[in-house]
Amino acid sequence: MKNERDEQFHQFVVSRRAALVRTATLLTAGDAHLAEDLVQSTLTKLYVAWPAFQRADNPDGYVRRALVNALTDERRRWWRRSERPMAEVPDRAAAEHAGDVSDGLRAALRELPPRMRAALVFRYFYDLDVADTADALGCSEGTVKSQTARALDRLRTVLGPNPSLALL
Amino acid sequence: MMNLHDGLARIAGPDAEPTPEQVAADLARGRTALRRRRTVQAAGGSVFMAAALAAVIVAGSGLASGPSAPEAAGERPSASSPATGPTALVAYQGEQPKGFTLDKVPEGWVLQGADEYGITIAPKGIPDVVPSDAPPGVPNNDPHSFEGKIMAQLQEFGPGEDIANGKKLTINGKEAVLTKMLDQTTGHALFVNLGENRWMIVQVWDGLGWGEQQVVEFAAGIHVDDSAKVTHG
Repeated sequence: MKNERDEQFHQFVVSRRAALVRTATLLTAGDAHLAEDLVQSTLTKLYVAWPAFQRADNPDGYVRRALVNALTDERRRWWRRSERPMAEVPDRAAAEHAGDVSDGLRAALRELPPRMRAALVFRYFYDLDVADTADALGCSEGTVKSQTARALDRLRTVLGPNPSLALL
Repeated sequence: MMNLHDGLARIAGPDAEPTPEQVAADLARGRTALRRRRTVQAAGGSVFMAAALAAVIVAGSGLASGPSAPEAAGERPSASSPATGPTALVAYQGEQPKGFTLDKVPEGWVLQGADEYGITIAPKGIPDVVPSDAPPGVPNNDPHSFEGKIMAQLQEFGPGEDIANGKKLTINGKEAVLTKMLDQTTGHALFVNLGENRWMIVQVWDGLGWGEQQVVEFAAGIHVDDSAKVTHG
């Protein structure tokens, strides 16, 4: 019983899913399982709201907003899961002993609040301007500037003097 | 020296193409979520097209609808039939859908759509195009839309707290709750506990003129086998 919506959605998933997974992985500070949850949740919401998505002036921005909204939801789930001792301890132990620079960055990202992390990812990985980042986060441009500045400060604090990682 | 962008790129991981199974699963999740959303929306008030209640005894199969659907030799409701609305239940004589089997359908209605997740019963003769300014509740040709229709599907949960205080019943030996979705007026929502985290919900859209006993009689004639799947919105 495939219809036009199904066909369009199918093509969208084929062409965009990989990129969504990468973005979600960053938004979740490298948590692959949570990232997959995030992508599935976002794609489900997109399918349900497909006509609105098709009419969107900025489809990429629409998807970013959906991802951030799902991130907020998934973070709530994440914190609930983390209340169980076994859910959290292995991850943190692994991060603390990781020797690789990207593991250290991953651990530092994990310490950031989700929206602050998202601001950092959109600004400094995807090179979005402040306005587009603000649109993705649903906040003001001033908030984006302060969030990204604080994110960089926190990364410097967590990572410490690390000659192998230039923040900017 | 690795910069921030490179570090983030490492964390983001490779640009791996999705497998066909992943794409299919994404589509399935979307469809079931849309189905569930429409279930909830079906709780809203509606005006049903009386003209859709054509009194022709028809039973279709699969997606079949319209004039090519075979005519059934209708079984009139028994004397004890509780049907009080404009539609009577008649024997279903079309091909049985996978996962669900039907004993009866409303007179003049067809099995509009069926898959392993559920079935949609709609009035016969729905026009190909429903005007965009049609009032809410006018049925259309999309079997995933439940407005103005009757649907049955499996889900993992029974009625939520807000609608759980319905009439407690036993249907085919199973615990059931006859209630209404939030904001539902003349329609009905019947939850039948099939066990093992499987509940069948039968939803009757507002304005169809169905009484409670007619809902129960219809639901009692729906049989779910192991090939039916639970929706996860």
